[in-house]
Amino acid sequence: MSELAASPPIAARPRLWAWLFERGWLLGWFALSRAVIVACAAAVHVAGWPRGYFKTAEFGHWLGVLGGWDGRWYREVAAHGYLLVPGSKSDPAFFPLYPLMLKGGALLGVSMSGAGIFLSNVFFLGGTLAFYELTRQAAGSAFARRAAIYVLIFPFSFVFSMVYPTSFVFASTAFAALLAARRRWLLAGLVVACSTLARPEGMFVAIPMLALLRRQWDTLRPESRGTALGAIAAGPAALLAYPAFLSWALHDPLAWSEAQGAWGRHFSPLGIVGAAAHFTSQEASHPWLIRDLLALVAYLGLLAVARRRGLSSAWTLSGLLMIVLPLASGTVESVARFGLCAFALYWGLAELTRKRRFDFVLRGVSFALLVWWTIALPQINP
Amino acid sequence: MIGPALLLPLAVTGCAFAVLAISFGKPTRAQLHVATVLARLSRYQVATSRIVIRGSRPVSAICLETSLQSRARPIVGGSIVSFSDGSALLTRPDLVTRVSGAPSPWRQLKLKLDLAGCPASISARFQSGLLHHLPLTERKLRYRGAVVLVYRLGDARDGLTLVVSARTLRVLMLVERSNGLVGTSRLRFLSHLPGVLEVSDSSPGSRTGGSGV
Repeated sequence: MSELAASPPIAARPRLWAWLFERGWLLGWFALSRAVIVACAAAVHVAGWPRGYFKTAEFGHWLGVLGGWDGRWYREVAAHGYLLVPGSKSDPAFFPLYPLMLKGGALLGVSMSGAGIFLSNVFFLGGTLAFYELTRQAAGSAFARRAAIYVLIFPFSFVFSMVYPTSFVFASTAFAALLAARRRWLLAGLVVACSTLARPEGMFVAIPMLALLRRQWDTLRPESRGTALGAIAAGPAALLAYPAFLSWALHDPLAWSEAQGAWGRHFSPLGIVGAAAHFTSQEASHPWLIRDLLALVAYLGLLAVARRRGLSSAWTLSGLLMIVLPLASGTVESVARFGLCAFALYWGLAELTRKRRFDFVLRGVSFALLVWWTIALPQINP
Repeated sequence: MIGPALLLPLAVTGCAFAVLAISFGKPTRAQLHVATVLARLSRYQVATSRIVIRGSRPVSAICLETSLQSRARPIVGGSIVSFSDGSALLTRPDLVTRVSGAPSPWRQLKLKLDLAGCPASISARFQSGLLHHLPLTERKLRYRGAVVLVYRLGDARDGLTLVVSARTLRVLMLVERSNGLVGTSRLRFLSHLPGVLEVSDSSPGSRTGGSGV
């Protein structure tokens, strides 16, 4: 009995190493891209330039740049919880799971910034491995390899190394889909719930999961069908928990939406029209909005490529919602970041770069932009 | 099939709520009150204040919250602050401009501006993050026959004291402390905005920075 119990880890160890060895190229690209980001952050710290909107705190540490912008708010929530000052910038605008993780890091004696940067990078590595597996199962190794490399060197992929929940949402989206594909629906549901508690767009993985369930439906037992349906509903269910908590703690279930208002985000059905109509006036006070507009156009183009080449329409729809729904807040600001968890974008890129020469050029351009935007972080909100 | 399909989402909502409630808890009653009061401050359009700066004669100030339009920028909320010593400032979310008066260092301008008690800039300055950090005390007093609540934020040198009606939470008075100096503001409410004021971008200004989501 004890021999049987002891045998799996011994057998599993060589398999794990072999599995990792096969993906050595991915680990290499991960190390290279993250080293570039760390080097850029350190260079900004040493040079003290560009100053942009950052204050002394962000320049006080060699990785301080990666803890800037919303990172400050996530740390604030982790340290003090939530409080809404209507009309002012307040912490309920930030979803709770990631600050909870930072709080956990602080309990272990790690600084919140340090814990955030470490966790984000670990999630990103795990997420990219899971993304590669997911893509490989659907489209083969060569395609999956290109797509995974583009995730790692994507021009805005510096966000995956910041004190932001983006890398967690990316990883949990990939893991939820992998688990659902392997019919482990209960676990997939829990992962989706966690993803949604970190960022609302986490629940959009329910669309590809629904497509998977449709394919598995006839072969599933009735109780497994129920679990699968429950797993798909777990995202929206987790989303409900946040306003319920805000109602209990702040007596305002809509505190999230109200706090967003202080950043100029007001969700409405005609918000997309407003985002287009007010772009020029918003751009006058935030010149970097042009970057988000260009990203939006590029993202829509990449989704169209992914769709035209017959890649999963469920994933394309999920990506489209991640990119288009934030526009209902009346601005294109941060769309470049919101789209980072739309897997179909990377599949569109992998599809476009089937020709080796084009792939080579695009990797160079992507890397150059990654360096540029990382250095520009103090000036431009991701 | 229906059982797990309903139970799983219910369990997720319940567990997530419990985890959040246990992990983050609730803010104190005083914090919630001050947050409401600060939000109400932004409805005030005019503040008159008396500023006492050590070593100089007291000056009075009037702050008018309005909308500003310049050629190169979109319409934004801002304040015009006029002091009895002849100086005047114009503030926008990321810029403070001297309109008239003798040139003075930025720190001095900032001090005068803080002490003038402009409602919008106070409510913008005391974001939720600052409310978490600053010491906060609450006292109930009787003032001219009415019960008032006195909230003191910060310490003796820097901070804000809000005097509000206990019944309506209407702000009656605020005392701003900056670097050990004091400005006392009485707030007035106007129901109509004074319109959009056109401003020139040519005056020298000081950037105050900003942040975003």
